[in-house]
Amino acid sequence: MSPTSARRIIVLATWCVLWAWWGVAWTAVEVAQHGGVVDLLGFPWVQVAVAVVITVGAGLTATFGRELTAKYANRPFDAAREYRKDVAVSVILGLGGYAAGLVWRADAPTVALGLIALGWSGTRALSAAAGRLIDMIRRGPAGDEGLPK
Amino acid sequence: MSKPSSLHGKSARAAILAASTWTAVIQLWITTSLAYKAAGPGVLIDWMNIVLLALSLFGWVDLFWRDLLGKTIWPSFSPRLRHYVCVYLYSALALGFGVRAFTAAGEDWRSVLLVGSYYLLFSLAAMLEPYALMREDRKDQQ
Repeated sequence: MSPTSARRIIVLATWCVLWAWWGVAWTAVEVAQHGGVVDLLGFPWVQVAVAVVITVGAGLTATFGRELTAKYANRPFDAAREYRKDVAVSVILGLGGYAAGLVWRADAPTVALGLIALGWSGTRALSAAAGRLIDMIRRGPAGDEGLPK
Repeated sequence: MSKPSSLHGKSARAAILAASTWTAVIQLWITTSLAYKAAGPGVLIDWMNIVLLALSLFGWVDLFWRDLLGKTIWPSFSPRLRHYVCVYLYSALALGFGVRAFTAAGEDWRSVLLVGSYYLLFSLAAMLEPYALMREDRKDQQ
């Protein structure tokens, strides 16, 4: 197996583990809320989708700010890479934030405003770490150009 | 003076400000409206609407005073700071519609589906405005 194929598999496996972890976490929340009865079909998926939209919006706002700062500082800004990365981070934060709101039984406005704060601050805080992770996965052995961007 | 915004930009901002102002007003004071029902009772959502109303009024002042009359709001307000403020202002208004959609999509979401979907679609559309503002040229000169 070539190093490039191996790293592609690592990326896919990382995503699968991440989503599987969320699945387990959400099922646990359901079990805790309904006394052992899992009813994922009855879950408020519309609200979950809106929660993700809110968090992605807040995360994108943070990215807008970073791009604007880079523009005024005459620094290069790889917009496509940054937006892809920040949207991925925001989606994960949104799902986690909503699950946390369910666990703490917070009311809807509190969860929504919390998701904005989480999307904004979380994306700013985790963006650099996510970038380093992507670089680490992409970086191959000496002489290898790594995955295409 | 930095280059004024295009008519398209002014129209888009006026539409967002009008929708944001009016929605905040009906969610706060018109108790018979579907929007009021979608917001539900709660101090937090009322305070959010008051803050969004204040931001919308600031946006109206900026739109009329700066974009339509071509004057600076006050001499020390740098165009660069205004660039940042406008991006965050319109993002906040768009996210406000997201919060309204989230609240509407609560337990009683079927009865307020229309107004909730309007909030969500408008939130997504309104997010284009801060993106477009951010993509504008640097505003280094007064």
